[in-house]
Amino acid sequence: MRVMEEVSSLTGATSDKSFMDASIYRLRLWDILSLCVLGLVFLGILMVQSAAVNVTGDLTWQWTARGSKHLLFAGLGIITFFVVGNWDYQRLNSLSIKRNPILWCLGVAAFACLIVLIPGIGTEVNGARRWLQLGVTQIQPSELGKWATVLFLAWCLSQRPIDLDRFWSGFVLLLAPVGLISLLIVVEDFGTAALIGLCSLTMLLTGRIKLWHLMVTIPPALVGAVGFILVQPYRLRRMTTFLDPWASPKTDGYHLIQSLLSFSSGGLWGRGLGNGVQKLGYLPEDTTDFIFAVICEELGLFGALLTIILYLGILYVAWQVVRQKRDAFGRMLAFGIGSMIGLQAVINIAVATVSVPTKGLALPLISAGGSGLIITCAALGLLCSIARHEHAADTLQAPLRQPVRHRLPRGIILET
Amino acid sequence: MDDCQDSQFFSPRWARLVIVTIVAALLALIGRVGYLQTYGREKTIRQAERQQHMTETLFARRGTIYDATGNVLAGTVQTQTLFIDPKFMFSQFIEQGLTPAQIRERIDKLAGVLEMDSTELENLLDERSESRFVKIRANASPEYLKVIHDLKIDGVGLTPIHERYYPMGSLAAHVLGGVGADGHGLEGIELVLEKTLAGKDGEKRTRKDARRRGIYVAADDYLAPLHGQHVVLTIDANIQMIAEQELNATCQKYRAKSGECVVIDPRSGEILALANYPTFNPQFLEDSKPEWRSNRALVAPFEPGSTIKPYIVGPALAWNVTRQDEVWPLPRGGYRSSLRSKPVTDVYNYGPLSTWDVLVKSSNMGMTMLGERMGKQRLYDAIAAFGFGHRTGIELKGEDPGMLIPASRWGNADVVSTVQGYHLLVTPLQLARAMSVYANGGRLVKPHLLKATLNPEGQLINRYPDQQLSDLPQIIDATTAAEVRRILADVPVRGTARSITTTTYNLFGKTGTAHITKNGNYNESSYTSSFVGGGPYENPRLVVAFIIHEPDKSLDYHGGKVSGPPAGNILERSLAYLQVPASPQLTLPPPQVARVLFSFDPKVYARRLSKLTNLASADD
Repeated sequence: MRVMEEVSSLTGATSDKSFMDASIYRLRLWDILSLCVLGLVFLGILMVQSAAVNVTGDLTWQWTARGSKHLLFAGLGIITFFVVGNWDYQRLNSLSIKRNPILWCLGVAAFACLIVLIPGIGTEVNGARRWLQLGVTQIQPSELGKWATVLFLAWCLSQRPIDLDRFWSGFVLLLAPVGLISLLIVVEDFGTAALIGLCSLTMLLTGRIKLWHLMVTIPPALVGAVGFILVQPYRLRRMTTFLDPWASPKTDGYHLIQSLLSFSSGGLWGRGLGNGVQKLGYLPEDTTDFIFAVICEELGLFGALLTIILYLGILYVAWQVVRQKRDAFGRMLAFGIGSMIGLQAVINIAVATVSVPTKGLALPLISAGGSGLIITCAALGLLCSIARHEHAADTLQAPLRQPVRHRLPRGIILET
Repeated sequence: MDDCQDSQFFSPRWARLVIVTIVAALLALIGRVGYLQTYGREKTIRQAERQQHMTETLFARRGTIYDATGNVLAGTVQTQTLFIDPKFMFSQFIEQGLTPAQIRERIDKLAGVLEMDSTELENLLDERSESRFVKIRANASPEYLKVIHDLKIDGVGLTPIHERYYPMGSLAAHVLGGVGADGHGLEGIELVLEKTLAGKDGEKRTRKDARRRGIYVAADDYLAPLHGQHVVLTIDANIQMIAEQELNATCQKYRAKSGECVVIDPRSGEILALANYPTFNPQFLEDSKPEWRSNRALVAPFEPGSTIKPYIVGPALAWNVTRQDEVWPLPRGGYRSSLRSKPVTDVYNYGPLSTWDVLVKSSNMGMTMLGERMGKQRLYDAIAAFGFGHRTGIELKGEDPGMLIPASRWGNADVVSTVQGYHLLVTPLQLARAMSVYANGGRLVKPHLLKATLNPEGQLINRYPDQQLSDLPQIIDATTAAEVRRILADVPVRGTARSITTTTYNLFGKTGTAHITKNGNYNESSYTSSFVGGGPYENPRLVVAFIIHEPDKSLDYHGGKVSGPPAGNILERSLAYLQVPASPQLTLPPPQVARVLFSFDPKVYARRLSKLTNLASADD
């Protein structure tokens, strides 16, 4: 509850009515979301520019190449957020196979994830082939795959086009595209694949998938992941380096040590905006994966609190939507988006604070990263749209297949 | 309690669990951040500070050494040194993807620009490939960099370096000493006054980025360098030059092994010149041999021979052991002393000689008789009173006290040796100081080299107090000192130093010709030829000790012949430089002395005057 108060205080709501009045909440839900998204994007613009600043002896302030590019994408992202926020998300919800935008999305994402692996098409950066050159900009198919998975799972779990109570023709069929995309992504980007797996797990649990199905599936997936880690020695090293980065300060531990130094050199109060030193060549990936360390060095604990409170605001909105008495698709999608953003933020911050093994994940809405930012904005626009357009029940008349009759007698639902 | 809407396909419990977990994780991470920023900081903050700062040393400028007249003897100049950073250079080559052959080609080109041998440069860079600084050329012009930049070779740079510069070359080398490659004094005054001259380096602590570029907008810790203080010496560069010219010329003329010359102001103990032969150039310290650098005037004691005699006769007169006009019955053909089996001989059979002439003619037989009368203890006291056997206390390091064995340990024969100037070791500096006693009326001065120190801005901050003659120990009464000085003034006129042809001033002094011991035996062919004297007689301004070791015997070896004339030249030229008025005619010896002098002819005193008159008429 304290969190909610903090979040709502950001909206500046000083109404005569009790703040806890539900009607006011619902009215303001997307405002909260918009404020949080704008706040994060603006923080991102500020911090990317600050982190990209270099010392060249030129003391006059100017947009850096990276900062101005990020500014452009942030602008596009915000536009995307509001455009998508004004759409009715139910347009996505379709029972047709051919005209289903979600399935198309999934197909395009899977295709993109496939062709990025082909040398010559995928662009290699820092030894990982993760980018597709699209005209003037680059796109990261794993971002696409990530959100396509969320959409697909939300649709499938809420509309049940297939009988998910069955194992082979239901559950496995549902997991097949998710698994495929994860497998395509895991080749070059273990972090995103793990994120997709984790987010899918939360959605499957929330979507009332039979627990024993999951119990059967999780161990092989874990074994696969562990095997995958063991195959490449550097992955194993990465997994263990975070325990003692000082053991290899020049090689594997370098990123982590520099990140730790950012926190300590900033201190509780920070050096002040733009005064960071670690960003000047010491901290690698200072505008992307480790931007949280730059925020903390420059803004101190206040920066960390601000960032995390803004994420908590998004989670709060998602939670409020999920609580509503409304269509299952909306609830599922809102939950999926909230879970994805929340998990990604948690993992990124945990990596920056050297609490978990290193993963190359961006801090959502803040890190520089062009297309990823726009896609994330679009996803949050969807959340905005869900908060805005409250559909009492699923508009679709009936699922493709009738739910199995003996569901109710099993007493899963009746217990509440 | 749970107001969530449950549905057929949606489990709010799981949703809540997931979201609460994420929220909890985010809150925990705030805690983690707070921890890292406060308590978790101790381990990392030091490394952060270390890597984010660079400390730039601001070199202090070494102080200048001036002579007494304000000439710069040693200064500091800032020059641009061309250096190579081989580590960086090779890393750049590798980054450019050059093959070893291409790298060699580049280095060859570089060697061409630097006017170096290419294999030499290659070897140098190979040998020190991990080094960050290899000095290539001092005093380089920035033009080099331009050319090298066009060759696209990285890792060559210019850096300002403070360099010690000795504008007068080898002048006063032994006084100044020299500095090492690191700029610290190694010898001489440079070493003794290292602290004063060096100053204290400052530093600038700048925040830097990962490529070691300073961030100048950041607040700096700036500690200004404390430049070194300047030092003013008592050395007079002109007198020093005169002394060195005469010393070098003499040593070369007589093919001597070594020589020393000390010029001292007898009234204050200021050392005006201190020269050694062979000498060296402090600019190129590494090119000199250690034995050249040895300041023999203070560190190499020797047996003085007859130059010790005035310091025996003087006290003997003061103590009324003898009188100036006492006539000593010198036997012809050698004096067989009761103290020693070997007879004592003179170079010339004078017959009976007065004490006056014993000194002027440097008669060993007369001195032996005087020594017998004085006895060991009084002989020892007489010599020791003039400071022999003790360090003079000059500021330079490594001064030798010489050697004067206490009388209790003397054998009988040692009396005979001592009166002739053997059986004891003295340094040229001690001889100069002892002669100053007769020049200044009986006071033992303390030789010193330092006159003052100036702060970096050139203001006087410390003047080494002038020694008041009246505060110095009176070791012989003024009358006797004047008497002895008068006797010594006869040496260039009637005595052993007649080859001194000086006409302007009346000089006084004592010659010495001593056998040099080699492995405990006196060598018949190697001598020390010395002259210790001063001038002008009437009001002495300068005292010079001029010592030549091992002149070529076939040319000459007598102190009066080898050392006398150059010492006279030094005195005459220096006194003229000091604008000391010419001396009047030397007073005749007192009549009661003149009576007993050996073949006395008053005309010799007029000789100098007639020379002067001749010169004057020649000018007309």
